[in-house]
Amino acid sequence: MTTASQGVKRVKQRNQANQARLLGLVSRVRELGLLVVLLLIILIVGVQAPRFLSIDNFEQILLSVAILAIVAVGETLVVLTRNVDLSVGSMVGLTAFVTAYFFKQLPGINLLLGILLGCALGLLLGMINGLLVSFGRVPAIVATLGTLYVYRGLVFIFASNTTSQINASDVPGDYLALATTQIFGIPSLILIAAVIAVIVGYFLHASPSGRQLYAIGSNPDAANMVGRALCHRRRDQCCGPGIAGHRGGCSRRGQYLRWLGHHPGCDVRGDCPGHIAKRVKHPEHFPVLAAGALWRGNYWGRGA
Amino acid sequence: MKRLTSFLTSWEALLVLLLLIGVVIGAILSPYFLSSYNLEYALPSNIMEIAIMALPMTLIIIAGEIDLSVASVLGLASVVLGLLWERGFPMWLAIGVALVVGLVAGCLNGLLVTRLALPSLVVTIGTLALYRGLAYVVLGDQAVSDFPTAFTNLGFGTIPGTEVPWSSLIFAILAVIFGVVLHFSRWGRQIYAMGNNKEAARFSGINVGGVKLMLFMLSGVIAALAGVIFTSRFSSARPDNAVGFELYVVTVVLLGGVNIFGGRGSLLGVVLAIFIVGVLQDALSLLNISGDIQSLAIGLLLILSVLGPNIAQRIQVVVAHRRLAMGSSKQV
Repeated sequence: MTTASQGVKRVKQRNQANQARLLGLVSRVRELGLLVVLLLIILIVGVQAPRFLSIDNFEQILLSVAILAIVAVGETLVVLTRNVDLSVGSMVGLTAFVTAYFFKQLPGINLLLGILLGCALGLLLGMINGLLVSFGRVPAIVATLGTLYVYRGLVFIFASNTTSQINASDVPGDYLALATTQIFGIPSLILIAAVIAVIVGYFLHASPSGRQLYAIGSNPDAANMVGRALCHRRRDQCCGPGIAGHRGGCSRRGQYLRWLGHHPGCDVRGDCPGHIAKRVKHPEHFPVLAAGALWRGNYWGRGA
Repeated sequence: MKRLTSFLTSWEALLVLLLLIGVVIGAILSPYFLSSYNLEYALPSNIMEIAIMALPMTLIIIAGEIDLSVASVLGLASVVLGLLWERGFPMWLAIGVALVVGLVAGCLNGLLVTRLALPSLVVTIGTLALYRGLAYVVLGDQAVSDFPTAFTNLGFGTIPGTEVPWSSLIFAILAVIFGVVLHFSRWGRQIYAMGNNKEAARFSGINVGGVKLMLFMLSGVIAALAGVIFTSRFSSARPDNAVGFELYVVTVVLLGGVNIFGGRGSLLGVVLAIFIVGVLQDALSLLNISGDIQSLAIGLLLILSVLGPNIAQRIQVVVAHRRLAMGSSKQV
């Protein structure tokens, strides 16, 4: 064989090896598959309607999913541990209304304090879910299905009992501005969503308790045994779904507050949050679950 | 005697008790509750679509899967029915096509779950959105509402001579069929086996993929049938018919004692749970309590029904341990 043909053969082999590695990469890293689909959609739609590719349009898209993204981050934590949280939408509605109610009733309240109060409520709601799943040994689907109805009913009761219409004008301007201000030309809503995603993503990949979530999802029994061996606290069983529930609750609370601020024209009437919660819940909780599941690729917690 | 005690401590016995409590509370809270109009007509007709969809859902959950797209299939079938009727097709053809639409929808679910081995929760969440979107595409924002009386009698009317709606009869027949299939036939045992251990079932020669595909197709057809009944009862075909019903269906099945992870449960339990939820909803409606609070009550019922026995079991274990400890210390 001449050196030229040997060279050609080597190049061909290298190309094939590279192709195989690329395909292997795409099939292994699920997120790459998602990216490919995303690019395909952008390409196909962009060719048909060039306006789709404008910065303005992308900003609109990001705005409309910013809230979904925040909630999906919380949901991811839950789905990673091999559980589901169906009550996201109702939690969002409840915390949103209660927070707005706080701001209306106590007009002088510090913005940060109000936000923290709302966050605490979300934490509480998530904790209830977590306790039901971990200590009550209620399967997560069942527990969160129940709390979905319960929280929705609570919004309704609360809203109809307080007989208050919470209009956009009742809430301090800072609160509404939270969602509408622009930092460096990017709406703050998008930035908040991005920051939350980055922080939680880093936590999941780099911190021990984050990796533990993956472990719990991958093999709950093994995680249980490891937990018992390593530390005599029942971290594994109770904390996994519980913590995920807590964190999920907190992030959810944050998301709806932005929704309110972002739609200053929307009158959050007494019955509207119930209505909004209904509207948010029905179309939203399944997309959140879908988003969380898609992000994780495989539903049952395995993955990079 | 043993059989009696084992029945009395079973989930079904608890459900019977809950049903009786519900009826008693309903009777106390409202004078209209025990009227024949209420018991024979109002209560059943409100719960029948959920009830009918809960029957195949029971089988699917026992087999270890779940189908969350039932309400969307209901909506899609309803919309297809309305569209065909509006375009002038005969009613029997419209109903037939609607049922076929349900069959195809269920078939898609089944193929994605069995051939592509995707988790059914993910698949049916996706098809939930897909079919609901299709319904909007088919009919847009309008609603079809002028249906012939012969048709609306199906959902709205009653069996001549009684006050029982036709949908109750359909449900009763279907419940008996499903009960016989689940508890007394080979397919039923296969479904239980699949739910308990899919791999073991496959190695035992059970055609797991085939049976699951059939279950999803059945769920689709039944959801379409429920859509036909729904359309005739409300005399309106809209894309947003029955939004959110899938959760009620799952609630009813779970309340009926079916294990969400598969392998356990009985159709009798589900039927009892259907009536418990129906009684609860009806009693609260008679008190003019709104739908959201009714949902709250149902949610609480669901949580407590699972939490209660778990806590009782925990207490039993703790008590047994204490007794053991005390007993061993006595022997010293």
